[in-house]
Amino acid sequence: MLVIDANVVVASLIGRGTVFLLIKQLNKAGIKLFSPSFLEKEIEEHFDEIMEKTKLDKPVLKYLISELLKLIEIEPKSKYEPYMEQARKTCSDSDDIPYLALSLSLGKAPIWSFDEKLKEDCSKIGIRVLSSVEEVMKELLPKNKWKNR
Amino acid sequence: MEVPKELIDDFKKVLEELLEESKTRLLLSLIERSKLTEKEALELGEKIKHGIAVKHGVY
Repeated sequence: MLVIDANVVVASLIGRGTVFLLIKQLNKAGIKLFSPSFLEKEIEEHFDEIMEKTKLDKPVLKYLISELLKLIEIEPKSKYEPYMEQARKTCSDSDDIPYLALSLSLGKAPIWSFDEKLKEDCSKIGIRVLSSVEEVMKELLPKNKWKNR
Repeated sequence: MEVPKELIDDFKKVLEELLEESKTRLLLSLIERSKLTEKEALELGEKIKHGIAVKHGVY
């Protein structure tokens, strides 16, 4: 189980495809990826900006995003709502609250994020934040599975 | 001649894996066309993250 930050989701659209491939690989290894609610809606709201920055055609980008979202389980807010208050007390940045609450609801599942503040805050309550591709690979993927690619 | 069920299942499995592999390659080839930079991805990610937090009513 791994909670995935929106910044990682967007990074999977970077041209080298490293993050995307890792997400696929985690999925294949049976590691479930979770995101808080509203990820789809927010991506939709920023679709034009994503299209402008990626310079991808609309149908291509739509297809990529739909395939990407199939690999992530979007948890309903009701599932982690009881942990929002605890998360609020821990997070120095309010944007991180839903992620921390979700992790707490999943028994302190690790979070994959490039956010340094989140890493600092989470370390205080014993939640691991994996902040690089290498770290995620090392922690979660059995060596042979990655080598076989 | 009747083909054993196990053989059919194995064949199906191999086909499914091949299809999945082809799909991943197609997706990667599409992503490779993206001009998104790391900096832009982080900025966009933060905007989306902020929007998610707002929709959760944390502000």
